[in-house]
Amino acid sequence: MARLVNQKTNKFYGNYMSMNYSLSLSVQSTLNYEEFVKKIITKAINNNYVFLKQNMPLSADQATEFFLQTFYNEEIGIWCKIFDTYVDFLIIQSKKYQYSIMFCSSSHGWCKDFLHTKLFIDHARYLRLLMNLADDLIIENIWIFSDETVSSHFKSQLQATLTMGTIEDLAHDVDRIVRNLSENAYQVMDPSIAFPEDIAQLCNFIAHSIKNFNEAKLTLQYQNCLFDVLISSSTIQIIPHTRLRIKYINGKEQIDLIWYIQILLNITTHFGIIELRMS
Amino acid sequence: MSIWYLTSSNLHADFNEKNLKTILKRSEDLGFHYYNFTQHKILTTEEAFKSIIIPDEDGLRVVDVKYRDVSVGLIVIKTNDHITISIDCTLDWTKDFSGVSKQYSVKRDNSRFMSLLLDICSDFCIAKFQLTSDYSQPLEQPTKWFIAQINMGINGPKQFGHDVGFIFSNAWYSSIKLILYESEIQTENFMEMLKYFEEMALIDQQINCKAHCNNYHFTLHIKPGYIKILPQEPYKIKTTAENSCIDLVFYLEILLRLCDNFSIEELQAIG
Repeated sequence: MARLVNQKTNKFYGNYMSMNYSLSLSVQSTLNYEEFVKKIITKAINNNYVFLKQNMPLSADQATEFFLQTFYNEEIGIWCKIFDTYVDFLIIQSKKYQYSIMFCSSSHGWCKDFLHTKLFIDHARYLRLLMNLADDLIIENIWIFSDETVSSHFKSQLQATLTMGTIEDLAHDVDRIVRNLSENAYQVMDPSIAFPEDIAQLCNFIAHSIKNFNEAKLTLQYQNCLFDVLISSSTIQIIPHTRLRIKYINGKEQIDLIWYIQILLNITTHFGIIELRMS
Repeated sequence: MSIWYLTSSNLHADFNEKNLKTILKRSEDLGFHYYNFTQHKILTTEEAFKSIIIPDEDGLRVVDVKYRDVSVGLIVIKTNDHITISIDCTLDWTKDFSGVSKQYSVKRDNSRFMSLLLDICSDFCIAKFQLTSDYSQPLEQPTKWFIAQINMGINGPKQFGHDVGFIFSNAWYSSIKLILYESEIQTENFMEMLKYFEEMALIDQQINCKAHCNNYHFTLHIKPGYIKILPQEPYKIKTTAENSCIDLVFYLEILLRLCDNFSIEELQAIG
């Protein structure tokens, strides 16, 4: 049984099996609750999600009806089979024209062997599915939180708190982050850094900055868009820069937040996500 | 307990440049990046092709791949002038199977790697597909069957009955709609059917039944730790420009869906 320990405080959070987690994605929509639920449910079922009531699979209409009942009865969620795992699936109206789609579950399901913590829920895999359901909607905010979420220090922008190691592990952790930059073909814009030719130079720069200034800042380019990445000993932030990534939703120009979140997930791939927030 | 796992697919495809490049292109379309980890360099499809056409000093034709959050080796073997393609199942993708029983807990998600390999091979007919490990032994003599050894029901009839319930629930929930029929069952009510099979599991420690999916029939055999699908004629056939053969992927996907709640330790499929 895996033990989940915060590497910095050495606080023991219990064994792996006791964990619960939630992923929440808030979106804007001009649809009313019933229309919005039907749109999301239909898309989910088309993606092979199976909504269940007393072990019976529901059609899109039945699942919508069931959602409306649970909503008015103030119950939480519908049990849903996604491919080979299960989640509680929630759709909540937070205010007019704003809805939250949520996956909640106890531990059973997708996990991953990360550095330091070893076994940990693979939040990124769940989040990618959630974003897929909302890829034609305007995203307001995203939040991943779980039993082990302890950070309340949130600097806005797009930030992930990670299961990184102690300061002794810093060089190794930075090396894994930098290799991810290289493997994903992200370009470093600082002309004094020979990247990706000299991996060690960039590693030294980041480790030195974190040790002396608590964080390192890089400007990266990918697919002709620029963004800053702020790396500390436990968090990574993405700050969209000039040359923003844009997409059109309902004919309106919007910043493509999903594109930036995917970059954050790519960079943080070797670490478990304790918390991820964006607003 | 096995340490390494390898999933392999023997293709009805000649070992030639055109077919190898089709595989590389399909992999790239799925999101693969070919990568040289020594030089920290992303490879083009042409460079990746050179890596697999010329064996390395150990005689292996392999190119390193970055796919989403894992790094795997894409291994190509020339088998009787045909292509066999393999990927190693890394420790990174794991799954918590404790929904079935806590004793199984967290295991490597081999099923996810097998699904990935099936996607890579989707342009070709597959002759044989298998998951092997360092403890692998041939499961049975070659014939047309699909067989998986899984972590389930080894702790007595009660556990087996419980696990069989999961398998038939998976059939019921699956987008591949399974309709089970058995001479002693005169109902299509899922709960009644489930109860019947759970009772059968308790008494006999094995389940034999017929089933069909999209009007293709097969026999299903379940014993503790073991699921086998025997396709019945007429088989589902896959036809490509060069070949026509039993659609191994169709039957394999049924097998994988039935095993959703269990970690797969060995798998062999012969079409």
